[in-house]
Amino acid sequence: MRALAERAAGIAGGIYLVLLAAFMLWPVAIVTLVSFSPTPVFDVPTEGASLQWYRKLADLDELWPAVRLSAEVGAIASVGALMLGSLCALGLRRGRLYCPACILAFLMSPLMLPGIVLGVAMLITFRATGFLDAYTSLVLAHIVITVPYVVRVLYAALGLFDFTMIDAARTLGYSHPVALWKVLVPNLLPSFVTAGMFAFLMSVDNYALALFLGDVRTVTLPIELLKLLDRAADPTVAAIATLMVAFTAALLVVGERLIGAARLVGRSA
Amino acid sequence: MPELGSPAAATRRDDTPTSHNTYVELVDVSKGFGGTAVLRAFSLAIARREFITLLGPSGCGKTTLLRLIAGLIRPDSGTIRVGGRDLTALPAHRRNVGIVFQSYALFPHLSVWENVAFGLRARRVERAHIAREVDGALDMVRLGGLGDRAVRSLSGGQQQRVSLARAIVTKPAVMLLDEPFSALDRKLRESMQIETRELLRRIDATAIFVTHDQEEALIMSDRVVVMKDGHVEQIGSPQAVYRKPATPFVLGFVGQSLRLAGQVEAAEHGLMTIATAHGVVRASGTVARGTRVLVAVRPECVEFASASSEHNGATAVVRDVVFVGSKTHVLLEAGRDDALAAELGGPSPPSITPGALATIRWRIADTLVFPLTAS
Amino acid sequence: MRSNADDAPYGVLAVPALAYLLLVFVVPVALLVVGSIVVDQRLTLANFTAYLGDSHNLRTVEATLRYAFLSAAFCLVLGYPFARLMLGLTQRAELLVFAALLLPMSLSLIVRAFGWTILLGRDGPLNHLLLGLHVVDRPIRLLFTETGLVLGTISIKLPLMILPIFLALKTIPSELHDAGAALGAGPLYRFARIELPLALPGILAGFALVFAQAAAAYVLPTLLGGARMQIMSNAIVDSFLILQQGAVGSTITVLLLAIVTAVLVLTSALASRRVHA
Repeated sequence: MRALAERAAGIAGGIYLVLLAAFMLWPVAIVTLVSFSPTPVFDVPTEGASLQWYRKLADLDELWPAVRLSAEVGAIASVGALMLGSLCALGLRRGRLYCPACILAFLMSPLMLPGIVLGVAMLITFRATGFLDAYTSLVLAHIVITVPYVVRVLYAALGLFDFTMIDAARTLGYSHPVALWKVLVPNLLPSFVTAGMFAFLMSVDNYALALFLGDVRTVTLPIELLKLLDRAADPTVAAIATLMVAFTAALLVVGERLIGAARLVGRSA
Repeated sequence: MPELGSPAAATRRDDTPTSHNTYVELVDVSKGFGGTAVLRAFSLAIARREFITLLGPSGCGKTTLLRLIAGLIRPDSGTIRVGGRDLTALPAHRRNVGIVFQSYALFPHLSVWENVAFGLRARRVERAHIAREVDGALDMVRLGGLGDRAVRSLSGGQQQRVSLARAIVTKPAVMLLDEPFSALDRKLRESMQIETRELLRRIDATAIFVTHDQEEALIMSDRVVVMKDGHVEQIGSPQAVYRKPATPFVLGFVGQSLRLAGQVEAAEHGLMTIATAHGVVRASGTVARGTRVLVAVRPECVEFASASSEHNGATAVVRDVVFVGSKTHVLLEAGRDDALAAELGGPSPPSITPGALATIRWRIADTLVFPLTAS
Repeated sequence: MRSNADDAPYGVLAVPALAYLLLVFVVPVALLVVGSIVVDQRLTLANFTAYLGDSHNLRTVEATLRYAFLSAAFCLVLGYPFARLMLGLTQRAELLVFAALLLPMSLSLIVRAFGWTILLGRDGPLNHLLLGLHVVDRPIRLLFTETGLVLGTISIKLPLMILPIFLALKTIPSELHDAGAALGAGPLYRFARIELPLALPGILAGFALVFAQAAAAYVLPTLLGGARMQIMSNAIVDSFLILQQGAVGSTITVLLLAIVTAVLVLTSALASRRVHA
């Protein structure tokens, strides 16, 4: 009797998990389905799918510059964040700094603040004072929100790295910096890739900074998307959204291939 | 001097370095970290082709010393010389030292072969030569043919040997080994210790070992440097350190002992009479009357028999008998600060059982006496 | 650690990143805050009292807090059982669920919010479902309502609540429950006295995260709440981009910052107090 009740509870638990997971995932699913809608309204393609909304993408004049801008800003910000962040993580791990935990907390703080607050703060400092143009402000701002990810990923990875390998490389004939390059970098490459990927994704997805720091000629993909959602109410937007999802998924798959799913998710393999 | 390669050459070398034979020299080396001094005016001279072990508990400075010789850290003051050359200001990659780490520190992103070739590549040796040397080194550690394997796929013992090959292939002036066997299980450790010693002899290496395992120190070295808190407690051959420890610390750190607290009652003509809780003990020496001392004997010098004019003796109840195969440890009831212990080769006689009264004795000549400071 | 140390000044490597953040992050935020509490070279809260004096503004703040609280509360109620159930999974299943949680978080927020606008529509799948199950006779209005907004918000913020709780629960060794049972504690008692206190840091962390993000959310309320929904984030956006009232906008921003900071500080204080208690 008891066993039956336990089994029932187990099944109920499993159903709950599945339902709630579906609840979290179905917005994305619906967007993907609707992008193939045969009609100009948001219909699920139960009678024949259509690619017409994808074809219409080519006609959207303002979309592609936005995509390009987001990609550029994302790339530059990721590279900048990787450079700053990896050096910083190394310094935190191996340096004899006063309170590494405090410094880490400080480094994470840009993520703790609402994007809007950051956007406004930088708008006032960069743009309103006329210091910098939209593009530069955007890049600088995006580095601020991507550095924390890089530091977090690399700091964790460096914790698992055996630094006596660097000692070995030094005694075998390489100077200290070269030893780091020849031994640390190749072994940490998966973490660099992970960090870079997340930095890029976070940058591309960010709307708050672009909302305040962009201008008429500096429109990123999220902002363009919001504008389209405001105006056109047809599945073209769904097509764009689906492509974005596909791209992100592809990026994650590539990452998984490179370093294994478990490590991507953040658990030790 | 035995010829190199002859059986006698494989045995221990007993010479302490004279000035012309000194190969590695540390003179008044001091090093501190973050305000705490680890080494203070430390000096040591090591002969060419000598095997020396730095032995001590963690924190005594032995690993710091090794890293100073390797050039991974710089001394705050003092000089380090190898082969007559002053290396003090030279960074690690310009010294020619080979180092084997406790964790082996093999590069996981490179194959076994590439690991061993690493140092030669750094020195820009030409390819054909690298190939010869690397294959030679791998053969010497009996890993020939495993060059293509990934480091992770090797066993602990094999990884240790790769680490050794990688260090020796560059023909370093000094070999440094930092607890190289501590990660291996006991049986493997013993065979690796012997194998490594033979290998290093074969290549005429001057080797400095670091360990906290006193057995390993005794096995591997020509001389042992017992260290505590950054200074030397005793330097000597393994026999000297074991049979004639210079301080109570060395006594306790190396091997087991029977220990009695006592006070010198009389000291005449080089013979002392010491009162202990277990009777009077006689020993040779000239410690002043009234001094508190520690009396000690190595347990294998203790036998179960009545005292005589040439022996000291004690009677006590047997507390525990521990059979460990080739030896038996016998522990007897003793006073609070004392330890009565004996070691017998083989199993104990039936009369020696816990609870039985036993009489032990040891030769006066084997008795060690250490004056204790007032505090 | 000492035996492995070397002399190289690694610490210096951290300086560029720290200097960068100081310059590009701390200074602007500091200027923002200082700018709103200093008037005529005197420290004052006049900006804030002026803002909150207006009943419309007060309603905006109330709406923000209410929305944030509801979102966090529902996420907690739904998310705790989920995290709990995750404990019983096999390693593979756990990995799968982890991916299912993290995957949407990597996808664009706008895409997910957009998905909900479709779901909540009059002809959307949710209404179809309700009609099909005969829960309602006519399609109900979900888009541009608070209900729809909260629904969508929960869907998107749930992972933020689940993950910290799960990680906290994971640290509880299963032997503790066994020990409690062996000592005679019933399931409810064990839950209240063993599980809940130990899971509390995770609960507080999750709650703080969801609350903070909901309070500052812009896209979700705009897309799902519609123009009628007046909360602090769109008030801020309006003031800068439309009304050109930078001063007021700054004031609201700093107020939002204060709310978010207060929530974070409060929850972490509660969490650490518990540990020492």
